[in-house]
Amino acid sequence: MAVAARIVLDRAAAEDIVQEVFLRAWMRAGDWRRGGGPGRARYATWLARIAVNLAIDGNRRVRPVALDGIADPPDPSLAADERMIERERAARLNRAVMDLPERQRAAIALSYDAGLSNAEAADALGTSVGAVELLLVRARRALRAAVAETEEG
Amino acid sequence: MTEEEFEALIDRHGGDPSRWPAAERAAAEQRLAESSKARATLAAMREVEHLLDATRAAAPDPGRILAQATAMLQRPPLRATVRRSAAIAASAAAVLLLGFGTGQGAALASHDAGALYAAAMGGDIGG
Repeated sequence: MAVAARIVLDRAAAEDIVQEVFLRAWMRAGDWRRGGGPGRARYATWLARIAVNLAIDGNRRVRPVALDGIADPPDPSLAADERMIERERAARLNRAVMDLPERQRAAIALSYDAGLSNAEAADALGTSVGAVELLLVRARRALRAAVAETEEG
Repeated sequence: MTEEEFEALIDRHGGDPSRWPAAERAAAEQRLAESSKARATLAAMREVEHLLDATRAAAPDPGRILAQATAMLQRPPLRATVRRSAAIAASAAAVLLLGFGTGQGAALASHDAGALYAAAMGGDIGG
């Protein structure tokens, strides 16, 4: 769910994707089983691959526009002014994530929201480890720059 | 390790040292001890990661997902096999939604879905 939401940036669309992921996973379970052996993808990686493909395909049909609905409420232990600052920083990060090219956004989602290693993220994206690291390098630099702008501004 | 190499390490693997390659960890920690610039780079990366964590989508409403799946089951063109598969998929989704979006999602998905998958594959899905 978190992977899909990070890519499509729309909670309702992400929920639709979750439902579709499990339907497709069930219908294509044999694909996963046939890919047996030591190199067989973890089930979570396989599900993530389906979710990423659906999310990217969905984005091609409808450009994501919603941003605010997916963020968790800020930490309630923070003071009111701190919560406002945290909310602004989170909104800034969401905008920066949305501005990333699609595959960079997918790489970030797989790394941080699905907790995959670079090798597993490469598997989920159907690419090499070197290629996924290049996506992560560019994305992390862009996100650091965006958050730094917040602090300077 | 140079400043550039340290930044490249952070760019490839993020700000959590447990995800850094073991072969590079000692040199990276030495660079951190010696360089305020390296510490600032790491702090900036961790701030981004904190915000990514704070903005991770919460688990969706299982009721909404089940309602959608129910609507799918009532759609006439679906064959019986697909309808039964949709029901099982919806049940699987409802179980796994408890794990996704909590930060433990991947681990739960890996464990629970594997068990669910194994159990489901043993069932009769013909139709």
